[in-house]
Amino acid sequence: MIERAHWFDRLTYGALIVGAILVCMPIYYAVIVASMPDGSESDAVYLLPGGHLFENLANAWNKEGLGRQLFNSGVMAVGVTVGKIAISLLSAFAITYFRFRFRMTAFWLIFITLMLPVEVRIVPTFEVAANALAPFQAIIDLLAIERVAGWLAGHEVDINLEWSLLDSYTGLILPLIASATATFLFRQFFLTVPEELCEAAKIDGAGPMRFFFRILLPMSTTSMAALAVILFIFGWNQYLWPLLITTEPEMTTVVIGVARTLPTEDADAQWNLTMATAILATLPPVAVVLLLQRWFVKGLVDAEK
Amino acid sequence: MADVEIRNVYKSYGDTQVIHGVSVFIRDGEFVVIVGPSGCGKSTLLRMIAGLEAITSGDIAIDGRVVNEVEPKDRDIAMVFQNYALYPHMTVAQNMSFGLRLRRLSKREVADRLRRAAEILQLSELMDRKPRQLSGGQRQRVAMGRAIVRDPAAFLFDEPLSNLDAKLRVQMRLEIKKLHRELGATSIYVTHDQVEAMTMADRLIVMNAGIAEQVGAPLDIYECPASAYVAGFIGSPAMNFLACEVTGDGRAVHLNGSGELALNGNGATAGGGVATAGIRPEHIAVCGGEDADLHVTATMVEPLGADTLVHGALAHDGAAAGPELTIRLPGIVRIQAGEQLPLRIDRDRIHLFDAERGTRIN
Amino acid sequence: MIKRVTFASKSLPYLLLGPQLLILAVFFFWPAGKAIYESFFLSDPFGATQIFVGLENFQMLLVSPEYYDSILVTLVFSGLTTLAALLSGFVMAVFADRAIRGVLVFKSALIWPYAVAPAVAGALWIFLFHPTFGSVAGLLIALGVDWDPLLNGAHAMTLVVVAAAWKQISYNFVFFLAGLQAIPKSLIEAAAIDGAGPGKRLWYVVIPLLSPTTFFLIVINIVYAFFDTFGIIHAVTGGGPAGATNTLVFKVYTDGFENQDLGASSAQSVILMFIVIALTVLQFRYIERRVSYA
Repeated sequence: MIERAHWFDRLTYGALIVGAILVCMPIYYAVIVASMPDGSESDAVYLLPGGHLFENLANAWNKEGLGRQLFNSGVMAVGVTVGKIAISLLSAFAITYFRFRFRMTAFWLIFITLMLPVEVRIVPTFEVAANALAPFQAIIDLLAIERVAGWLAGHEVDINLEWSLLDSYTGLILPLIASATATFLFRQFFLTVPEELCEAAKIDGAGPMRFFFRILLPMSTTSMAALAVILFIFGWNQYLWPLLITTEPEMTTVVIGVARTLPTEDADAQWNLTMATAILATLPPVAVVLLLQRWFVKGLVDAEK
Repeated sequence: MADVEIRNVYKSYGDTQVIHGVSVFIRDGEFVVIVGPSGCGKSTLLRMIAGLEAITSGDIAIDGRVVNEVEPKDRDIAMVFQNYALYPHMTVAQNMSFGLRLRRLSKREVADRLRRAAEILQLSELMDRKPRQLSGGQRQRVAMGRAIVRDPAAFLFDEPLSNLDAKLRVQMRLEIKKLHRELGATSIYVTHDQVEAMTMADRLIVMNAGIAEQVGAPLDIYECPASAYVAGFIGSPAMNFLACEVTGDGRAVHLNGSGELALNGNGATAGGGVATAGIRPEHIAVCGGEDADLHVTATMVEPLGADTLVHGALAHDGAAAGPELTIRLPGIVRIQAGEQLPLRIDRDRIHLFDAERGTRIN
Repeated sequence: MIKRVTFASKSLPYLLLGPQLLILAVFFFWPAGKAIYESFFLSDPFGATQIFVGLENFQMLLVSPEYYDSILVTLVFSGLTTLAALLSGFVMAVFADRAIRGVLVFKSALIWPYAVAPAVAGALWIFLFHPTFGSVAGLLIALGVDWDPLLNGAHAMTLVVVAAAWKQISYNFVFFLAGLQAIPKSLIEAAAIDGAGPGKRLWYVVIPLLSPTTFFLIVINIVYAFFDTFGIIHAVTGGGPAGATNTLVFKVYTDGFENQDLGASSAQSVILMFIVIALTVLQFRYIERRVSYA
């Protein structure tokens, strides 16, 4: 650094320390409250933990359904991560390594979805989730296929497609996969792969799929890891979608579980347990971000280029 | 091993034609260098031989078989790329054996070929390294190893040395040449570096703007360039070109107001008229005043040790403002800028070119 | 853009695109189309009958004071959140870029809120500021502030802005830090030799060079404040008190699911989609211009 003044260093570290403390305060306080015994005054100001942290965490853990909720969140987060990476790799490969008639059409179809989150089209998406085959049913109705089939079969045919995704992992995961961010990240990465690698692979005798699996995929591991961190958190932290699509308690995710334990006007609320639950719900994604910080930062910055 | 024949090959991208009909026959075991400036179509030609570019019209045959529609992998060729194109996630051994494994060679056969190639290229110690752990020269060797293990009918090289520093380039040049002598495989080598071209080639193809201007042995081309373009491209420093007047019988020329210079035994095919005379810098000598054909005023002197380059302006009608001339004098010659030099031209080595079309006329 | 070297296959690219396009068709294009379609109809709460009403749903919205209130709430909320999160993230990044020791600790401390779910973030903050349970609220009240986010709209807004901005500091911090580290050190040194002190360098060199990052972050932060904060509002204020935190997305949800007014909800969805598309186009045009200057 250019300035070597002591006051400047002090300012730098002072500001960082103050900032870090402010940013960490809510969770620090959550930990403190989660360590208080039952029945302590909730509006008193505590600065030091109360010694009941592990007891409360254990109680929260043993509370009905929390294990199941954590499991559901895990399935959802991993499902979104794996699903999105898989379909995005394939489609990014198609639009960068093939010339075909509807390439630009496909490109724009995917591109349009880039920034529209599920929240914007929440009501109709919910309707689709109630019956994922509704679009196909509508096409069938529109084309009067029933009548055609009936005419072909010689009697009346009733086609009723129904596949409800409510209260299912599929329903939790699939709508969240329907966006293009990952496709664009991989496309970006594929464009930086030297052309000669593909030529060398062709001369070595590799076809497109072999090139994809043996050369391109192993080269993409860094991008995949970075993206996986982002997508895991994205999946884990979903709120509105699981709120709508799950009705049965055993399909609820942990984030919703925490929100539901928030007391409203109830003065006897067990704040210590609520905070212990919140800590348990937050631990997995925070651990992912802190342990994989390097990938996380790369994933965040790359995904938005 | 095989011969490679290029028959009247054209290449267009949309409406733009980039190769305008090239025909060359490359004999079995020959080392052919395609040389030319960037954009002349040399890489495109090589990539058409490899099967990486489609041929617009004409034929390419390898070992007598027309391969126009054959996939690169089935052409029995191997290629060394300018940036090596090593798979970054594979070790040296995996890089070299990838093609063999895809061809389902037996494990023993693969190991055998790897070992032999590693010995030839002195890569045995590096087989488990990843490309990023290798120096430029080592990567270059791995890229060649990948080609060698395939035991192909023909080796294709696309400017393989241009990413190396000058010293390594000289060393690898010799190694490739030595390798060719050992393996005796047909090799086609693309470069823009005329020193590489001259030193490595059995035969040279000089390309310019999508056509093969001249095909021949390096020294033949040097001594008898077919066009002003080739003459200017081959040889460093470049040949001097001067406007001249050919005498009526075609046996002598007038240069820049000089006297009559007799063209001993290499007279022009047609007498009379204006032409371009090409004189290599090394075919001009400083002489006694009375023998002088021309006089120059030295403008800059570059002492290289082994020889001395003098740049000068021809005296023109008494004023020193005529065309520029470069002269290469053997050894160390002490000349100051501004000095007047009487020059004598080697009459046996004057090249005459048509003033308009640039074709050779003597 | 496409690779110069490509593979030739008639059917393979379609097979590769298949899974993504199928999912997009069912869960993106169909619902988006449905939203547009339904915005022209009036439905009864059970969806049994639909009457085509043309633009009536949109007209109703545009004369509804409630909708204007919601727009205003959204603008205030996203404006304040963006401003607070951007400024905090920037200041922290500037100092973290300068720090030599303990960088990893500071970075970790500033990054982790990104991983906290918005709804959980809401829970953490409401706990501190709840008028009856919150300890910080207790302090404020003891200091004589009449603090009550459950009844006072401005207090409720402050609370959700703080919670939303807090979560977004990490994101801005990461991008600003990456942007700062991408500025060639030689430029900063040249400015120092030209006589610019730290403040002048920041103002005349660093901030202009960061402007692409800043612009990008403004768009992202607005989109974040529009949509991703649903969980915070739902968990903390439920849109209240008296609609003081009833943002556009929250209103789409309440109209669609709680009031069962599909037509109005769809019309709002359509308007939201256009807002986001406009933001996206704006951003890409800006990026394009930046690229062509480079």
